[in-house]
Amino acid sequence: MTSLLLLIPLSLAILIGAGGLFFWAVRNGQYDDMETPAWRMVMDDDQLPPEHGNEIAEETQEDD
Amino acid sequence: MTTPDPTSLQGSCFHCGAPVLAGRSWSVPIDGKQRPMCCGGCAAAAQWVADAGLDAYYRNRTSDAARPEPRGSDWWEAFDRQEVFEKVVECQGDEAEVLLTVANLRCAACSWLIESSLSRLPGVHTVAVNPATGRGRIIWNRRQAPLSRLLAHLDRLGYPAVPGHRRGEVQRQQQSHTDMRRLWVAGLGFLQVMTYAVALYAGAFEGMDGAARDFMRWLALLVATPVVIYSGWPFFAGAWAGLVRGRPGMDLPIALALGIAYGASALAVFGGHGEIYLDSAVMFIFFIGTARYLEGRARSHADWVAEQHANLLPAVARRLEGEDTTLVGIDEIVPGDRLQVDRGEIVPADGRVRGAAVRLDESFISGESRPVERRHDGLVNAGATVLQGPLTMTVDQVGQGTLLAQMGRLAARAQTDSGDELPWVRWLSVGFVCAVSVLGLATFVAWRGQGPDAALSATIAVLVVSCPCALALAIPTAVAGMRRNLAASGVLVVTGAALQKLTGATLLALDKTGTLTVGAPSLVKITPLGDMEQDTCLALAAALERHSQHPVGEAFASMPVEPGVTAVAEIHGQGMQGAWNGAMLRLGQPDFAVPGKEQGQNSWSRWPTLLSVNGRAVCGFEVADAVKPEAVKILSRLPWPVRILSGDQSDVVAQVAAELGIADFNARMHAEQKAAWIATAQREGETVVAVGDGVNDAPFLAQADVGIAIGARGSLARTRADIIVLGDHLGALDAIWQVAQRGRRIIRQNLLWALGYNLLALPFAMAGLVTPWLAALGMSISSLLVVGNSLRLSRGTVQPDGEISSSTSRSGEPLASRLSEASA
Repeated sequence: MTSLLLLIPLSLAILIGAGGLFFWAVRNGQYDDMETPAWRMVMDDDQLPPEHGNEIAEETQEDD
Repeated sequence: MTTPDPTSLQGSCFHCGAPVLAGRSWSVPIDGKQRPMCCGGCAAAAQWVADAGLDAYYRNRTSDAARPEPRGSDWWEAFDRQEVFEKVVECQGDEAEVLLTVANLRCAACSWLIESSLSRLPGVHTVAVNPATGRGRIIWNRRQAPLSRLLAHLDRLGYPAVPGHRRGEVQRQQQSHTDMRRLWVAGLGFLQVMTYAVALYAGAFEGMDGAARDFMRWLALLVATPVVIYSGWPFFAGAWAGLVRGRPGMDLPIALALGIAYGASALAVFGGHGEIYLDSAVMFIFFIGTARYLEGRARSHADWVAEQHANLLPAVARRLEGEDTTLVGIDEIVPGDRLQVDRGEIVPADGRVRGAAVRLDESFISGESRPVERRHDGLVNAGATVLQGPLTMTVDQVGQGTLLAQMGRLAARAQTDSGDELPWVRWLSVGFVCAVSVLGLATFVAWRGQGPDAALSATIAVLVVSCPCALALAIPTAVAGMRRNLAASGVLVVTGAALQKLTGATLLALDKTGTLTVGAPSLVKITPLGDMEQDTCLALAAALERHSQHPVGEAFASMPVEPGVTAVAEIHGQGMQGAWNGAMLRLGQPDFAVPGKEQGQNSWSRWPTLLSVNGRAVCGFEVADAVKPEAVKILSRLPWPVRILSGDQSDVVAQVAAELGIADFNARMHAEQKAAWIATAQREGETVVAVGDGVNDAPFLAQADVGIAIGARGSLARTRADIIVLGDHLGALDAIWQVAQRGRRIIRQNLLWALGYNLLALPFAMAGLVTPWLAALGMSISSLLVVGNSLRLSRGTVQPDGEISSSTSRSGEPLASRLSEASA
């Protein structure tokens, strides 16, 4: 019985902590897009060259 | 680096897959190999990708990229204008956030490429792109980069992106977040309380320490309280709102049951004795909450789709002022402005064509995927894409006044209409709710002798079991399913109740012009009269009619034109005249084309339009308003007797009726006369379905029991139709009828089940044989069954031409792919 007195409130405390985490995750937008992060993992390479600051040069296109 | 390579590599462009023309090819080294490119745009994009070390894009992509056709940077610079910028960007100090709709997202690799490449630009903090929805989000430092630079970069990479409107999106997201939080609390609370409940049940059997029992009960109350208050809040609010409106909904019994269960349990816990029902209450909230959460997601998706209408419009437009074009924000356009819209761009406002004819894709407005041609003074609507232009237009309506906005409002209005306006349905649900409440009370009174525990248990069970959720859901979910199904075929259902009335209809009244017939002159018959070939005759006629302002010219509008026809002039009231290879051409009235010939002398006089060369008749054309080709087939599929009510002359109407095999028709009727005719028929007991073009037929459609508007152009605001068909194809009628039939079957099944279950379970609950939690479970399953059954209506979309496809709705297609198809 005394163990219950300790454990149950403890579990409730953990639950509240989990709840707080969940609420944070929701607010942070973690659940807004469930598909893309999966793909992103597949694509990311280990090595990428350092920051490339230029945009694409505005090439003039040949008109068809 | 990216110069044309004379040692032409043939084959396909590595970037976009288009064929590479000899002598006009570029090549770019990717992953060590030289790859051919078809144009400077692809080459520039590919070169940048390679230089940035993002070759992985080419390795991982599952589809060719779109060919970049970047606009000049001045186009994107319009987004830096204050008026435009502050509408689409949200700023906190220097940090700016913009929501975008990105086009040409072909696969996951595309979104990766965009995210990786944009992140490299200075000042960009976060980039996130969702390839499934086409939505993107960028957070960047606006001091370090103007928005135009980001957008131009995306454009050159091949992914033109349009900043989207935020408001609805933000609201939906917030609602979704709230729902998720409520659900989480309910779910976890449910697990906890069930655990305590199991302990208590065990204790009831095996014997439990008084202190332990009290401990468990207090815990249950502690955990259940936030669940009931926070997660259960929507039920209480809904019940209250229903009461205030005088129309109690299904929230009322739920709220009552919850309130009683919680209140009684709280008293029991404080008092130290008596049963607690917290497990039932919490379970209830969790299950029903889940159902509502799923329904909310579906609805929010539907809202998103409906909003695509608004997001379709460009944020900037080109205004013509004298000879100059200025880029202005779309909100700066006013009626009377002259605008220029180039090929691949979307028309920003309603208006009329000025000058050269253009071809448009109006699929988003009318559902018609075939391109339409609009000539000088023809109507154009916001949301159409210019296929062949450029289009010069004057503006008539902007913003909320456009057809597109009206459609959006109608769609939104349709969302809130749940289709249960049929009086008998309303009485049924209200009656049911009252009956249930009375029964609950009766149960309580009857059981009171047995002690409060048993009485409460039985009462709660009764309230829960007989909760008319399934009943209340039966019809609205079916109507919603029918709506979704029809929306995919390009049919907008404004009043859901109309769909139900269709199955009881007894008469179909049709307008002629524009409904049964195409509505514009078309070539019905060609008869060559000399030895000139038919095609040449057509080409000559087309060349002459190209310059005509007369409506007859429409019939020849899409035909190939014979070159070499010059000096074309219109002789008012008679026809067209021109020169060709030295001969004089005339096209028009018989005595104009062939002057001097006696009328009535030979078969020539029957032809309304005659083509002559140097005064000799060469070909006869009959131009009329042709009956739609699908009309006969579709009418045969509809079950009702048909009558034509038309404003046109008797002989014309008779001809159309004969062609369609319709015996009954009335000619020369105004809209009010048509409405009066319908009213008479209704007095005689007929239930009338009316089909017209909705605009000048407004009274006609409004009077009928079910009014269907087909091919409505112009102002939808004046339409009082119950169902609006976007597009001209009569096949939509067949689709509507089929869906109405299926809907009726499913509603019947739903009602049968809902009532049957309630009636069956009620006696058991009143007898005290059903525990509250069992009641909650049964009720939830019952509701889910009804919703699931109604979902069957969403499958099997009937296409406008009558074919059934099982694919998902076209209207759910992301804007991204629409933009890319339009500009391809």
